[in-house]
Amino acid sequence: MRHAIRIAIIWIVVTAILEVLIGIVPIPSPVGSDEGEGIHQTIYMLFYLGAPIFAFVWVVLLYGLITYRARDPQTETERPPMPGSNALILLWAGITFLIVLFMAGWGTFTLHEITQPPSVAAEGSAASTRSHPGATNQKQPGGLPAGSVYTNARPLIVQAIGQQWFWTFRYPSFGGMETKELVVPVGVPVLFHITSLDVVHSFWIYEEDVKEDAVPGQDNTAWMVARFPIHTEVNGKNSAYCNELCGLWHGYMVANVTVEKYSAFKSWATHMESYEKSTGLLKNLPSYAPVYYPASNANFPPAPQDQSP
Amino acid sequence: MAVATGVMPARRSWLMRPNMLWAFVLGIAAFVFVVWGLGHDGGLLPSWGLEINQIMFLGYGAAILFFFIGLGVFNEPVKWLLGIPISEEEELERYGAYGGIDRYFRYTLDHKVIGIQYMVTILAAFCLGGFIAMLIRTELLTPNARFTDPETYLSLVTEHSVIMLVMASSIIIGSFGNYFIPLFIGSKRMAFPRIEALSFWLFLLAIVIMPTALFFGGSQTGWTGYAPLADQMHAGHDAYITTWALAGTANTLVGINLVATIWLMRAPGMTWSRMNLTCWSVLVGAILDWLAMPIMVAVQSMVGFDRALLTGLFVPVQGGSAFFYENVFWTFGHPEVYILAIPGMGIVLDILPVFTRRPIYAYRAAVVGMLGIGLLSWFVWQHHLFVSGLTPGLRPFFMFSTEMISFPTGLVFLAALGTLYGGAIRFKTAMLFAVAFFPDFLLGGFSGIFVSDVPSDVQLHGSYWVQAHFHFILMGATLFAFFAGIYFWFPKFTGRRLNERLGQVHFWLMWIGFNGTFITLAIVGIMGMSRRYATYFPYLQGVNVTATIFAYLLGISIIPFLWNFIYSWGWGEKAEENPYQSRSLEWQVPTPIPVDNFEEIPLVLSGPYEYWSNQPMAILKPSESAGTPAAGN
Ligand SMILES: [Cu+2]
Ligand SMILES: [Cu+2]
Repeated sequence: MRHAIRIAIIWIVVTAILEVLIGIVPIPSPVGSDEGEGIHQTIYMLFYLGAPIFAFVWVVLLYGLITYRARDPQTETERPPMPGSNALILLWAGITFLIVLFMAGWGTFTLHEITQPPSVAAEGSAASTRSHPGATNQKQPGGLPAGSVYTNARPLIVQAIGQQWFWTFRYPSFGGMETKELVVPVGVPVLFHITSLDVVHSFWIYEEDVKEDAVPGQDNTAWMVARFPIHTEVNGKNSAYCNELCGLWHGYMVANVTVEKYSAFKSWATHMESYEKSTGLLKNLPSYAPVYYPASNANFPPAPQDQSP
Repeated sequence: MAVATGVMPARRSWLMRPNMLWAFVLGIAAFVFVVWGLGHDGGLLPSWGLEINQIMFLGYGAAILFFFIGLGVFNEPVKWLLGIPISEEEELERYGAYGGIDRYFRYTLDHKVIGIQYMVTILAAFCLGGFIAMLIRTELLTPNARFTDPETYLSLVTEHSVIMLVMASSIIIGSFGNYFIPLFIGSKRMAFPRIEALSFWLFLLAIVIMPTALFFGGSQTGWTGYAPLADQMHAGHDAYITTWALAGTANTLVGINLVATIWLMRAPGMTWSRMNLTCWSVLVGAILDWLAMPIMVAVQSMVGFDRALLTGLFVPVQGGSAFFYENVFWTFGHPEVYILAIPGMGIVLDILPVFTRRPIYAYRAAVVGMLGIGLLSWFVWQHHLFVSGLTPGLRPFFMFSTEMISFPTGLVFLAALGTLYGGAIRFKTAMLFAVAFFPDFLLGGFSGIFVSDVPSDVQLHGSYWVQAHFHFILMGATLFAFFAGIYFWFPKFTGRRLNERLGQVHFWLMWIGFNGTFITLAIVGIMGMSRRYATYFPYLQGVNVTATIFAYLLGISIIPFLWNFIYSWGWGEKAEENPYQSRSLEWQVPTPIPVDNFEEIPLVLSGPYEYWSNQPMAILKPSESAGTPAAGN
């Protein structure tokens, strides 16, 4: 009993110290976007929740090892078993179960929050993060009628296409134009449709807490509402990079990310669209689709000479 | 096998008897003949229009076949078919009855020989994989690819991961499982000695074949070998496929043999509830081996068909599915984790009672815990695919089932803490390694929760956090348990003791190096570093250098161990028969253990942990003491 009380006191003290430390030490967990908020909170919650468990095992272990070490191993006699206690086992199991329930419940709730951007949820279209090619061919992703005019009241749809070893971004609301860098407006829901042309890639913007695999033949989605403007240089911190081993230059599969004011974005996008129209690029691109099968597309026109990959 | 006492027939010279040397000579010759002969125009053989991948698989097939011919695996079946009698000499040698070191280099059916063969091979593979890890960490000292180029880097990553995982799949089941299970349960032999011997040589071939990938461009897929990337790889990837096919087959066979042995060969009185926890854990691991490993053999064969026969099973353009590969792979991949980890739990839970001089606490809860983990491991695989396009409605279920694993794991922790609390703890090196299992496994579980909860997994998936997480489990837990087992049972299989002082040096270097490396790498992960990058953003350099320095410490820690292991085996201090006063059956038989293990099948009277009791665990010669159970031993 004496030991149990001591252990309890040490445990409470250590837990308190750990909880304070978690509060003070900045855990690198960026919140660049709205859905990143839930992710950030989950990471912190798990640290706070884990600390007492972590402390408990360490305290009992170290306390036991120090208190009960055999002072004279030669003469030390056999010890009787610790009295078996079904109550203790049930209590232990019950507490573990409650912790599991809490974590899974929290996760489910947060997951529900972060999978649906507010305005998209209202349209009831992006509930799925994955759709089979056959299923999505019937309507434009995100429930957006083809060719509709983009306004900042709707989510901006951007298709991120992974390919060995670079990203291409397509903007269906801007004539399906293609860019090599990602430019999105700040404070507006952006719905990513992520697919791949060859092997499995993974689309990750660390600062914005966006990650989803790019799987060939599959149309995955993720969304974000960026909170701050961002401008990245090549290989800078806030880039979009590939997170699933995809071959030789996997580590170099990085795209610049720019998050800017809505007006600046709009003028950039319309400018790019008209530029790509004027060079004939848009005409030669395959029509916007949830997934692409490049090698089987017999009617694919030859790429224009001035289009450097 | 029963002829241990009679006059032994004379033997032919060692060269005339099939052995490992002939196996390697024939195997390598066959491989070179096929690959070089078919692969070059105007070579020894017409090329018949064969593609490189077809040639590679033919080459590995020929190598395996001729390796086994050289090893003499087919001698008995062929002689039986032709009606040629098998000589007494051959029969005795098969069972290791002649003793001597050379039986370790032959196709020997004695489970004690096979256990040692496994252990030494595992240590060699660990050193090779560890050396490659040092090269990887060296590359990551700088944000640019300076030390290697990206292709070499990724080849090294694949080599490291596959060698380590193949090695770790057998680490405890192969070595201590094969060596000690018959001793634990009071059996004279395994259920299927020939299958057991075959499994070791398949395992050895798997380990040997993997590095040959480097001669054919290597494989840059990492251990997961995701298709359709795997379909693009150099010829080196065929080595990856062959390795997994061999290792998977070997582990399936080990699993079948151990399940049959534990189920059917227990001595009278060895009830389920008197089995020690190593036995239980190996049983759970063996069931997972038997059921999960065939999935890996199947899925890698399918990639092999894709590569050699263009079946396009995983190539989307040909109507295949990349997502399907990931699903099937992880259906194997998650039980695989517990094939490695559960036997480790059993070993440390067995070592704790010996060094605390008291029974294991909550034995039944620990058994239920291990069985529960084994069962749950089949219902969690999609946690690897939370951001891969998993059907969204399934994510809460897989989040819950994954986190439920902490429930049975908690029972195992309860057993350990309850045993320590109030014991008379003796700190031998084996005990240090056994105790370290728990904080390491705790870190593994703690970091695992972050990647099982979907929201945090979105950020941490595929980052160094995951890499740190599974190293906590595979290295911190399983490998520490393996070393605990080596320090604990060394006196049993060599008759000598390992040096305690060197053991303590090994432990502390390894524990500090290990925790330093992987706690730092978890931080690198949460800072946003992706796995399998030869290059990284410059702001991550500081933490990476720290991790590398700790990794070097971890690398160095193996040196005192190797010295200790080799020196003590040959010239170490002689050990007593039962140096830890353990009650368990394996310590009651003489050292070196006779070929037959037990003169008579023992009669088991109680469990292995009842340290307060005066009654021995078993009567070793029931025929002599019939009717009068020995008391006060
Ligand atoms: Cu990629
Ligand atoms: Cu898993």
